[in-house]
Amino acid sequence: MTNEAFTEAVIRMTPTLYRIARGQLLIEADQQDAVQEAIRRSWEKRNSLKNERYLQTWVIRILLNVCHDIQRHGKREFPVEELPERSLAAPDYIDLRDALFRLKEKERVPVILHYVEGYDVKHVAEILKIPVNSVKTRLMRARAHLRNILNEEALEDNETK
Amino acid sequence: MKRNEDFRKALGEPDEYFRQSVIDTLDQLNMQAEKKSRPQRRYSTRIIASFAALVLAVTGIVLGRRYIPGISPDGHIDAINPTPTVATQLAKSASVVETDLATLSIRNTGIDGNTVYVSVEVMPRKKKSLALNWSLKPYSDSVTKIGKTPDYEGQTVMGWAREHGYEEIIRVVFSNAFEPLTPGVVDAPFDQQTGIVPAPAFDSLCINHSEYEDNGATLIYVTGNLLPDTKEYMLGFVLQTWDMTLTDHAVHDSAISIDPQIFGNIPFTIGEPEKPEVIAEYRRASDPENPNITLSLLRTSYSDFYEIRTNNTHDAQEYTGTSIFEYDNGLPIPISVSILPGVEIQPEGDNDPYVFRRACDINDVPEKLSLFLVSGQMQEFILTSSRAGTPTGNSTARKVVPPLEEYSAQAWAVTAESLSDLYENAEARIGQVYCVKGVVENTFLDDHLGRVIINVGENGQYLPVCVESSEDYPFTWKVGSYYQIYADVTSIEGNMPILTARYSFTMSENIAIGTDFATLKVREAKTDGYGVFLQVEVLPQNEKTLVVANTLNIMNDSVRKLGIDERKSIYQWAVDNHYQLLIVDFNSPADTTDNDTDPDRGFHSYWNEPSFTSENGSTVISAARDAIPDTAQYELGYTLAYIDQDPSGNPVHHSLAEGVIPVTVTETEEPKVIAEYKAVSEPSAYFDNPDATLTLLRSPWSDYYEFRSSHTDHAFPDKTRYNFELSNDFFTDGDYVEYCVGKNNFKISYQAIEDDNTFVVRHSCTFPEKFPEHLRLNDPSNIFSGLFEKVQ
Repeated sequence: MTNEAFTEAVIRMTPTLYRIARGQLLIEADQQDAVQEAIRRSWEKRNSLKNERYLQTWVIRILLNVCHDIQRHGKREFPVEELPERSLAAPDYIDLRDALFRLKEKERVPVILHYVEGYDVKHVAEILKIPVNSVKTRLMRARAHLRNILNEEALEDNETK
Repeated sequence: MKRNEDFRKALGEPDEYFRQSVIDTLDQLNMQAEKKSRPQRRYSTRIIASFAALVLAVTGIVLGRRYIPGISPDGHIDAINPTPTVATQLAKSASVVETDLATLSIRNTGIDGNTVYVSVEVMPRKKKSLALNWSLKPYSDSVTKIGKTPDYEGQTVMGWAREHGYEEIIRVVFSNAFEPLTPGVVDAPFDQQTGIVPAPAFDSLCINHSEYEDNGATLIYVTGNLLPDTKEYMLGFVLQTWDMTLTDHAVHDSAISIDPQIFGNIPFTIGEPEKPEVIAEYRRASDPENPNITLSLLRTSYSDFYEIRTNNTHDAQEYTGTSIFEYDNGLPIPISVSILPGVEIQPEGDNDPYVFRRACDINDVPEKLSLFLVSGQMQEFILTSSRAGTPTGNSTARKVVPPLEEYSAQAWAVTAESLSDLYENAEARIGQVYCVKGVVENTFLDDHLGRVIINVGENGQYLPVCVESSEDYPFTWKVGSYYQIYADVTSIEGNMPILTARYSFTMSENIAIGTDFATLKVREAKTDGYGVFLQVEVLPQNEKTLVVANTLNIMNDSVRKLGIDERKSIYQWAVDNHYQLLIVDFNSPADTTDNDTDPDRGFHSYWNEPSFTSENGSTVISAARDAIPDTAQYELGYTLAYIDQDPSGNPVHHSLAEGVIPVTVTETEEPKVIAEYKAVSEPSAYFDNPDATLTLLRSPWSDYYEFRSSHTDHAFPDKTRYNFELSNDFFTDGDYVEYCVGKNNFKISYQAIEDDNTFVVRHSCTFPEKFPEHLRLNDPSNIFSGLFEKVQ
């Protein structure tokens, strides 16, 4: 893969990387660090990548792991009441973002990939390296939890395709 | 009803700053790649070796020996804090860069051997602003590190700055020159691509020292390598401000460097290299085996050296045991040393061959010339100070300390009885050697000798002994740390006998450390060769105290994790039962000798099983780290903090004590192979590893998997990398081998290219009892991910 192709692909992915990092990390500086580190890590091995079509899922997977590393190292776990830096979410959607953070990580990540980034469940399974049925199960549980958290019952329209 | 668009809005869109940071990162990577593709200037290993030796010596490190702060493990007192030499040669053309945060100016430059020395003045723009060397952590480092007197014990830089009205703290980082700003300056000496010291060690090794001046300026000393035929240099810098609003220092020093971030380059020009002045020459006397060795003591404005010349190849063999030195027959072997400014050797007579023999023993590379004084006899040397303007003053008579085996044989144990005798007969005990083992309780801040009180009592008994470091071998004591030293009585102040520390030693058994708040005892310390595993019992001094490892989340984790059968969080249980929470955080003291590893490498506690004992209130905490090859001695750092409630009922940390426990580990059986797999070709794999094998191993302490491949290009540039960290169970569904699974919640990892050119990656893991015919390896970068089938 050429440097130019890698660069262009990553710039195109910026909004996706941003939202995934934002969905995983609470502190803005961490989100930025995570994306930069994921880009660096994937850059190191870009030439060994067998097929360019894997780039997107590969980088996302690396980003998820970097976010995970940051969570572990920084121990920056906050009670929901103390969520910092949420100004970039539109004011009407702050409750929804907080609700997302109340989900367990293994439920939140599929929700972000599927509902926010629009990957189908097969693609999500590929990114997370888990079976398709596991993705469906997690999405189902996530919807139930979100429903409880938001006290809404209107998530059925977003059924997994 | 929530639509996909709602979720997207909940997470927002990246702003321009974020987008630019991505573009900047990519630009930087592209430029690095471009630079790597250009031919590089090469340096001989000889130059590299001599520079490395210089830098290592300046920072108090000699390869092949591992030092702990204060006292080295092999029994010698370290010179950990060599007084920096001050640059005096003015730059030929000094340069000034003004930024919104501070003005940076090159105050002095100089050259010495292969090293460029630069002192940079950082003058903040605001009056109430403080510029800090990048390595300082204002939320945890003591204010004494910036040369200020604390208003109270334990005052941090941040606490001091706030209480003295400072409005801004600037973090100053020096680095390689930023290439976008310096077209045409590709081979700048501060460039990690061409520099001698590889990143990330560059910064830590090359920023040697900083001084905080009364006018508000901070002077930072930086060293880089001298390039042939190069006079014009660039030094990159980054300025950031620390967030001064945080109240919890645990949230935390590494996370709060924020906007604005200013970066740029400072150009400067150097003059001619300074020729070292020969300050003394010696010829080895009365050693018929090696008659042709000469020793020259050399001095420049920046440091002192000695140079040994020999044409005897037999001597060369002595030197090849270390990677610092290169040897060419008949050529000088430069060995750098740091000495106290103003001290030079003048033996009383010219007939002392022993002095020189010590100098030639590479196993005892002296860190300062005063080590020459170590001899087999109790006798006196005269040291003279001939260097103007230095603090060491006039001629001083120094006592020569016998070798460890001779000295320690005279030692008396310090017990309640012998201590009582010492206090009653102090005058008569001058010169008596004692074996002192205990925790440093207090330091005397104004005492340049590093005088401390060590409590040698056990089981809560208080038996204070006043010990100081010797003038010849000054070092910094760490309050709360445990020391084992030999010291002799040198003076009496009031009724207090003062002992001077001469040697440290290690013990094979593990010990208990008593603090005012808890006693910590290492009950078990084992290694399987890959990991080190500890069980540490923490017994609080006060009743109604619940000890909790920092790994547990006191707000979310159930108190059942400690073995208390109630359905409450740890915090809620403590509040309801009127217990105070004592949080124990295990870590490792900074290991500056190890540049190839994760910066967080060291002990971490992990949750293992319920461990609270209600009878005595103790809690046993498990801790682990990766193993260091051929090492049985480790250091377990600890921090104790109480949790209180603020007026709103929220928990607040109060740090109480910190220290280091020396730990001796014993080996258990090595991990055994329990299954072997080979790669299966898979079209959808990210990377091809057709010859890869996967070996599953098990020890009494952990499972491991080992990935092997002939694809050495997967390795990181530094070839060998260790890593240890705590881990969470992340993706667990399906028949996968996770890269960081583990019921014990930790990850030990290692990667290297081995001697047979096989690339090896090893991770700790937790396996089921039975293995499937096929399994999938799922690693964080996906490079090693793939399907494997079992080898029967």
